[in-house]
Amino acid sequence: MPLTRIRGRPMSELSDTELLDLFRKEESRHYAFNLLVNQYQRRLYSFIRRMITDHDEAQDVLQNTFIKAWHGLDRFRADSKLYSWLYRIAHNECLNHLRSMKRGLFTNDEAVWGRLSTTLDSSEHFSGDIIQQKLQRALMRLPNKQRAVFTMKYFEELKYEEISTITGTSVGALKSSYHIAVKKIEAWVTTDQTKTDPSTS
Amino acid sequence: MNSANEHDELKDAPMLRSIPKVDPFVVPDGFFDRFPHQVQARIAQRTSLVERIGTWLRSFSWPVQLAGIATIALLIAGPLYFVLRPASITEGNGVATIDVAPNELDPYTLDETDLYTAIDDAPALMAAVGDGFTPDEMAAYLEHEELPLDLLIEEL
Repeated sequence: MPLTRIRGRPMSELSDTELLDLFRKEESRHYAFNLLVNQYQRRLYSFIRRMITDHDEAQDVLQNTFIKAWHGLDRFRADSKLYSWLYRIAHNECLNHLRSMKRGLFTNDEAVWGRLSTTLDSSEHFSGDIIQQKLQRALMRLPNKQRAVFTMKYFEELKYEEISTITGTSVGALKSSYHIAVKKIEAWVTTDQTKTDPSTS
Repeated sequence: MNSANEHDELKDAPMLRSIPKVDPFVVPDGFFDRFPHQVQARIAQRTSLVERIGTWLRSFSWPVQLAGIATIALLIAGPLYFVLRPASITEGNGVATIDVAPNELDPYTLDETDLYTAIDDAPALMAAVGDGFTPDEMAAYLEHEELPLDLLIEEL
């Protein structure tokens, strides 16, 4: 179905309600979902990649996020924004993935940290300069949930209220968590302790 | 986001503030063009498998269907029980204990976000500590002193 415009507007500018209406019709279900993936894949990938660092693993997590969205979209109620809901799935998938890394081959935090760090040593995967590398290493030393909060607030520039909807954590707790994360990262980036593993801090 | 608020939150982090917000990760060429098709392919694969199982099951009479479903449930639940049960449970004198080696203890089992949530949700704890502390200050204190929350509650 080669639709490019709906009600005179490009498909890329569809509202959540219009996208959901299209999804609920059998004949445009796959098409609507394709639009949704196109609309949100970059933002979600960026968040997941900062959490997981490795491209292949980020791709798996992103795929699982959209597969879960496909199965749950019929039950989605428009009382929250679609992207908050998708972020919520991505956030949970990231935490599950990181937990499974620790349960699997990488049995402790240092091993997981080492595995995540290797991506940053390869120019094939990472194009940032020294300071970006230091920042990313510092980010990886944060506990998983705090890293998610910092990433959503600092890089994705989401509001605390939105992060609260996504993570199910109170705004007050998020502010504290972010504040502490900023202090830690500032200290680590300034003193260049980011090349040692987290157990030594 | 309000830039004044952001500036305020990063006022004690001049180094972090000076770092440009760029995406330093390399994404393979054409990844975002291919990705929607990969997702659709996975959806089609799963849908087709579920449909095939459904059609196959419907070809049997209902007692056979029921027996089949029960067998599949047992095949899944059995191994799951052995995988998910606690690592080592010793029962003696009516008391069950779980053996955990010290190096298996996860320092981030209760991470900071959980801690702040616990403080936020614990008015009794806050009342015991006194009116002088806000949850933020309390969280900062715990962070600074590296005090486990359960020990603190015990002390209070």
